[in-house]
Amino acid sequence: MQVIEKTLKIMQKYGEQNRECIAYWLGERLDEDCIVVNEVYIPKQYATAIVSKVQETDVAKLFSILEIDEKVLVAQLHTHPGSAFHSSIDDEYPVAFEKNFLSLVVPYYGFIDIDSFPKLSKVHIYNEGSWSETPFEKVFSVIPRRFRNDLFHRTKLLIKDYVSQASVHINQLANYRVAVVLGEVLFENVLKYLSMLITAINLLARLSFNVDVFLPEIDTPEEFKNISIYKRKVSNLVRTIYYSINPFGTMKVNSKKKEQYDVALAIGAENGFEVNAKKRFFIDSSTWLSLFWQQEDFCGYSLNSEIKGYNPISACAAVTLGIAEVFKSVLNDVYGLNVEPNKSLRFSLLNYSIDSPVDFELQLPEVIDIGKVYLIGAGSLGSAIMYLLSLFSLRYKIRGTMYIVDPDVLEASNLSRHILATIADIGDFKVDIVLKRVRIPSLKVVSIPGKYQDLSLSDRENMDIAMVAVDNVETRWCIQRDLPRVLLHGAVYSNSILVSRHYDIINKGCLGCIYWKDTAKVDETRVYPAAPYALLFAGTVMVAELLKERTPWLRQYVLNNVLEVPDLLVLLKHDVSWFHRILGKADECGCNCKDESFISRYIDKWLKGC
Amino acid sequence: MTSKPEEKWISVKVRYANQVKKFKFNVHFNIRRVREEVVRAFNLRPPFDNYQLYWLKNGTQIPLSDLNKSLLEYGIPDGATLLLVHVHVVG
Repeated sequence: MQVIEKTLKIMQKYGEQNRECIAYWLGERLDEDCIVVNEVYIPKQYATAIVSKVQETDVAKLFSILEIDEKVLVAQLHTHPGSAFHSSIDDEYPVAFEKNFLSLVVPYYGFIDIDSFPKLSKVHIYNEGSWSETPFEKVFSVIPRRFRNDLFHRTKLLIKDYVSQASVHINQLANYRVAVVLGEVLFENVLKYLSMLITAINLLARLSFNVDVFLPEIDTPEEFKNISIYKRKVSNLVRTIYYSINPFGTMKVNSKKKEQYDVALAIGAENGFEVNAKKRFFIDSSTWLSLFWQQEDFCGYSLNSEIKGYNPISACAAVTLGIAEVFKSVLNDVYGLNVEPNKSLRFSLLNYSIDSPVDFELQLPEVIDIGKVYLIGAGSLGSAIMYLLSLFSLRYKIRGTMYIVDPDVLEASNLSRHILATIADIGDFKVDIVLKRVRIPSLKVVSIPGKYQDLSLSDRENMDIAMVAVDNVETRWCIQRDLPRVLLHGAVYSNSILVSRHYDIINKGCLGCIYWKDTAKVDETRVYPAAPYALLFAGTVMVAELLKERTPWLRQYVLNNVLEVPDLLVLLKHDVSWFHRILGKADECGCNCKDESFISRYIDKWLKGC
Repeated sequence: MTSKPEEKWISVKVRYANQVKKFKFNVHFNIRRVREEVVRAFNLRPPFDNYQLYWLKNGTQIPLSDLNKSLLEYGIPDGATLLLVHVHVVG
């Protein structure tokens, strides 16, 4: 809608002088059959009342933009003084004779209502040597204005969780400027730092309208090129990721203008860039450690000696800690809150310490066989798990079969936190989106677009590992009652994270001991808007648990029972806000796990003969 | 004794709107010949005079308007990007 509005405004300026106007629509390619149109380009032109012309030199300028910025020329547009039709001159002298190229004619010099643009404009498509008229709706889907509200609706609710103001205006975010800086450190481990960069951009697109990126100009490494949209320069890749999620924001890469930023998030270090920012946060990762520190604490780390092996999961956990601090800055600076910032964190995904003195350096296996895993829920947490596994597979080999079960389709409001989804996916099954975006060569992924309860009894009764990422209590109980050998569960409520592992259900609490009988009626998606970075953080813990489960020398570090982070935004301290505990069996357990039949079924299934 | 022109071939990338094709040309080919080959490869309709080639050098577009000049004379290096364009008129 913004593009149409901008196009009409420019056309009307020409129209006021009684001149036709030529414009071009440029976009970002998201996949084979989807391009997001996000730019109107007005060439230098010789325009009269009935004819307009763009010379070769100016067409060359347009084509050089396509080349340098890797944009797609979607359509040419021009106005008529009267009604719209494709003339013989339009047929003969378009800017390009290219298959599926579009030409739009806009009537009355563009003095039409925005909403009537699709109806009143004539669209022609070029194919096999000729132009033919096609309905606007067949080739374009207009993103309605309300989509902006949908996209940021949950972010607004998140802010409201902390801010007591009666009304929170999301527009206040528009002037908050975030810079993401990737210094020369990138060259030491392109895969790691690039994974961190694209993850940071992906999360920020859901929280911010104004993100600029500073990075050295490099080509995307080979490992990423299995994924079609990644076949481009990194500078263009980050822009595509941002706009595919948030077409309403602004992102500049390596802006030459000296601008003042509210926050700079530096990945690794910001060598080589002088970014003027009020606050600076740094993130990095080692084998199992996720590091976060503020500028003044930089000297607290001797990075060169500490940054060792690459573990994509701890790298992403570091990003979530950094983005949480950025969001906290937004709350403090824009909405007047006063949440104390973290100075530094050394979070270990191995033992979940938050001030780990050393990295354990326990290496990951080059090949990991996850066996047969059921992932129930392909929403924001389930997709985070699959996103992490796909990043993991760029460096390590994953074997096995993953069954992904989810009955839902993607809604616009899901985009605020579903890390694999773009605006092109709205209306698609969530399992299919995961299948489309996650390509792990040696891992078989089976998507099941349906309810868990509709799976066959034999499938449900023979689950070895079940990863539970659903948002309703009934399904959680149902899965636990089916007694998988290991149940890994995750849930995020606002900035509060709960991950639990249920294995020894004879002695420890089961999932029903967390979700008691009286919790079934709560509609979690409406009550608790989950923060996208908190969801990814929960995902890192769940994937780390899966890796530990399947790696002999890591098994001693599996989560005993429950890990709880009451608020990721509040200063993390062992004794205050970090809970790593064993749950007892609850009288009000939603699964009645104290019943003898429950326990004897588990023993029969998994412990007989042990 | 006559000297043979140097047998040197370069790879160039040519962009026409959203399409990009790779070509190998002898550096002694003149722009006229290059243009004809490129227009045919993109399956565009002659006359060839309707088209013009530009060399995209450091973000600026240098017109290759002298059809008799060779790639070598224009200083076009291996790996260069050329842009194939024609005028755009509406009415």
